Amino acid sequence: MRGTEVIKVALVGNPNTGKSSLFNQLTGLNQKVSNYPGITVEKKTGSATLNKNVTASIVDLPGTYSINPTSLDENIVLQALLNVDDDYPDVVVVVADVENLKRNLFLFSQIKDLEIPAILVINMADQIEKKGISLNLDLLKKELNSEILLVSARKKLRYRST
Amino acid sequence: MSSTIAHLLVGEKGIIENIPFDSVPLKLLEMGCLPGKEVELIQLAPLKDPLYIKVNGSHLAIRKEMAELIEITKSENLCEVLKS
Repeated sequence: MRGTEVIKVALVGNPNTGKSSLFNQLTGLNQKVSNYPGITVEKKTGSATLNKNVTASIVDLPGTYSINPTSLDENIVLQALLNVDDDYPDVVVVVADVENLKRNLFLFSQIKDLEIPAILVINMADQIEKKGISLNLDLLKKELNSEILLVSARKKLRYRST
Repeated sequence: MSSTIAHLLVGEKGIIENIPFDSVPLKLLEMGCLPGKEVELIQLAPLKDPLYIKVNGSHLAIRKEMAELIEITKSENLCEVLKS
């Protein structure tokens, strides 16, 4: 494809945080999604057109709690991040569940430590009001030195602020 | 002697004081089972092993032998608070 730039995006996150939901929204594909951990056990690739010249190749990876693999599917994530295959991601999107943000941020900090460009997507943002969660996004952005997005993949929404 | 997670009764909470990092799986630490965190015993399996605990927002099941290694200080017992 002439003149088309492809950026490779990897979706990484704890199990059951909505990576596959987000993947389906972005690519229009219909990857199996269920409300319990361990559904995605291999990587799936799809693409999304960002604009006329840029296409994103999006990889959906199995959920993992850390980059130290303890199982086969967690090892897939590590391989994807350590350039074992040739599809090394240009940017990693860490998908986090707003209800378990603290645990999710551990993985995010590990990926930051690898110096891979990463952004944080806080999913299930529609739960914030329901569960009475308060978030200081500006402070979090500053502390993590990263871009943070609040979304609800299932409701197809992006939230500006809390 | 300090108490451990294995000393908790169902429903009781404690604060983790000490974890032997060498003898506990890394996974447990990654899940947020770290000193200073609150741990609650949710349920015991028959024969009191394994234990179902909640720590750092995660629900975990650990073996009794693992629970015996994790030192805690028990939080104020709710019953005692109610009595006083």
